[in-house]
Amino acid sequence: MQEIEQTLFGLVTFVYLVVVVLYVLGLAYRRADLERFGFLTLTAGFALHTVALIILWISTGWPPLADLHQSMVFLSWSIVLIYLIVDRVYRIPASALIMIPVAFFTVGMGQVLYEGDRALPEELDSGWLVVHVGVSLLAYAAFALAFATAFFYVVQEDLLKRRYRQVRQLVLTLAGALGLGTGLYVGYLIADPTLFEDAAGNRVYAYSGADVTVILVGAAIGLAAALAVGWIAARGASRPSFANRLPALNLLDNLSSKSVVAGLALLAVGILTGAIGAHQQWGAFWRWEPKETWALAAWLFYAGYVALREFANWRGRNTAVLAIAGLFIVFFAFLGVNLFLPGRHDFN
Amino acid sequence: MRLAVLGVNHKTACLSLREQVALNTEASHRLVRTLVDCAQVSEAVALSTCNRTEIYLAGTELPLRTVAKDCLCSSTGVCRTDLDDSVYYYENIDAVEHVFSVAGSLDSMVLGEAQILAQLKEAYSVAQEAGTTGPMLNRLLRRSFEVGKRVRSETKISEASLSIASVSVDLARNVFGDLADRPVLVIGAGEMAELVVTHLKGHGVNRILVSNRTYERAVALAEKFGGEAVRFQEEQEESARGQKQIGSHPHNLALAQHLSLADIVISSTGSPDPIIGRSLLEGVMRRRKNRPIFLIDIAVPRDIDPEVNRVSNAYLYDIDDLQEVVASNLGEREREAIRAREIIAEEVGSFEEWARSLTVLPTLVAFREWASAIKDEELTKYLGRMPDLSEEDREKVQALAHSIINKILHPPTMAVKEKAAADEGHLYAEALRTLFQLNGAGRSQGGAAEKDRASSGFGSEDKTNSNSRS
Repeated sequence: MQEIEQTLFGLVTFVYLVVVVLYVLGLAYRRADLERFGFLTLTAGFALHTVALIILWISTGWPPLADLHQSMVFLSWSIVLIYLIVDRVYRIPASALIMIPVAFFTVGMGQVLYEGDRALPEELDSGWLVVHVGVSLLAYAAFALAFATAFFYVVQEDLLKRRYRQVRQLVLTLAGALGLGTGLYVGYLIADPTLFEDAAGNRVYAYSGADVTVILVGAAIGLAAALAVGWIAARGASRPSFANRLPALNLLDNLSSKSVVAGLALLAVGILTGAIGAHQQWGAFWRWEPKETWALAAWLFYAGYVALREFANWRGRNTAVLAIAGLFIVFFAFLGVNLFLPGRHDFN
Repeated sequence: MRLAVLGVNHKTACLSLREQVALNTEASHRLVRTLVDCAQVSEAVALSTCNRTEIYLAGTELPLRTVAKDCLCSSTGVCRTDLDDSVYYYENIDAVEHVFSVAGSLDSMVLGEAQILAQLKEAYSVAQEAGTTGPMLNRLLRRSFEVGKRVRSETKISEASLSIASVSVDLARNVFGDLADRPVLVIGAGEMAELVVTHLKGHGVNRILVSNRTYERAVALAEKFGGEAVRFQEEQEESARGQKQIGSHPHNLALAQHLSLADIVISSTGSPDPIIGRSLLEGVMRRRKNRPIFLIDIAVPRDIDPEVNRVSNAYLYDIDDLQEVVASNLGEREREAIRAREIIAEEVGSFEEWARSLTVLPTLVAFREWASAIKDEELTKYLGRMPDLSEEDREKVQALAHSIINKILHPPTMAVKEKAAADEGHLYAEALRTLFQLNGAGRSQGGAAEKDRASSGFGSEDKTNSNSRS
């Protein structure tokens, strides 16, 4: 069983990559047929993804949330699901350009982190904690959507305000940031620094010279690849006709803020169920673990977003920038903490 | 059979000449009748729009330039020398390409416009009524309708907006999406503002506030737009108005009030100074709770300070900005025109193929007639020597001769038909005539060779265009 689902996840990763390429080409060369084909490919990939998750569930006998690998394939599944729903309802094919790379990246990293099917760790054997993990992941998927729509808000606004001229810089900046992050992360995974306990009993990572080199090379490659893709995309984007194909500012702004509210509610539930589960398992609601702290930080950040919008009339570009920045916090809360700041949440 | 096009369009002729040669339905009916009455012309269609007058002809002999020009002059009364300077004339493959370009709107003043196809259909039906169309022009025009449809459905040549008004609507939609129920404020008057309002109404806008320096004028305009008149300034301000500066005063309360209500603002006043400044709008944005506002300034000199575009959630376009979008969209259509030309080239190719397959037919008919003449001759001769044969046996012999002829004729006939579409297709027909001495010999094949030669030139040589293609 293990091999089947792992092969399927590998295939899904590849299909999502193909989808990304199709959408980028469709955008750059203004070919609606490529986008349509991309959507069909995506639907097929999503069906495959669903099947693989079901097989995984059956073979382990537990919801696929047991370790980091499983969480990531579940998270990417949620992201694609949300994208498919949003695209059906609001017709925003362009948002695939952000959502699907995120999904691809997540499912791909899930593959890299795979260390064999794991049954649910004993300490996680609590209904509260399963809900905690699932709901938290859905919250992160909602924040990913808020990010994607905010990104296109900024692009659309630059097209309108700056008269179609300076979009290239913007696209390159954002693509560069994403590429750099991805490259650093992949470099880190390949370098695989060793974990040890220092004199005080804290677990810390040790980076060798070779590790640092690998990480920097990864960052450079990620940056270069993202800039190349961004260049092609920006070439097709610097025209009024592209603005007509993007969703309206109002729609993007609404969708982004609604996603944030949904994510905020889900994350609140996630944190609460986590606290209750922790109380049952370990006898303490809150222990200021890195993961807990960062999740709380992300929640507070998005709560600030909602407050500014509600009470200070922040709208449009300001809030879009917040939604973009927010995803980097989420990203760190979800992955960075596990990888750089070990704690009880080691498994996911 | 040969094809020719003669005409003038907006690129070659000035408006006054185009007016002179314009044809209404009756006139074009009469013109095509006159044309087919000429000896060299067998089919005729006349197209007349505000940008072009063109005659499509099929005839027995080229060139048809003179006869077409004569008929056009005599039926419209235009002076021949005037026409000489502006007329273009194409034959055969160039004529086909021209007609297809016209149908595909590539030759139009506005690239990708939709009207020309309907006008072409109208011209065709007038000619059909007059009974002046035949196999050649029927095929040409029906194909051209297909070309027009293909160009519009397979390319995006009709997509990008090319007018200030439709670009304004595009931009408003980029900000708001659905425009229905968006309140619009119109400040001042003008034809352009009116056009923009009309376009907006086409997208469901139904609340229009009209403001003008004098309230009476605003009321009149509001009636025209189907909106409601609002005061430009508070009444006491209005009465206290010493000079025009008050308009640009940041504390024009009435204007600020309207701006905080309206999502789309169209300004086209005759004011020499801006009436909406940055500080006014910043105040308005606070009252709007930063809900986006889209401002179109079509006044020259401008009504709205360009700095307004720097205010968050305010989007300002002046006439130059709109013009720039139009130019970019035109480029978009031109890029699509490249793909449209590929479609046209493809269609011209298949039309040419069809026309060429026509050219070998007379030779094949002559070939068959020659063979059956020999058969009949020999049968008469030999059956005459065999008087004892029963009627049944005679029939058998006749059938035998017929069958042999058919079997022998079949392969070369098929081969010539097949090769007809190729470039050197007419050579096979020529070879057939030479080998079997079909020229002039026998009873009915006299005209075949001549006809072949006349039509085999189709699409290959003699380009006698008077004007270079534009």
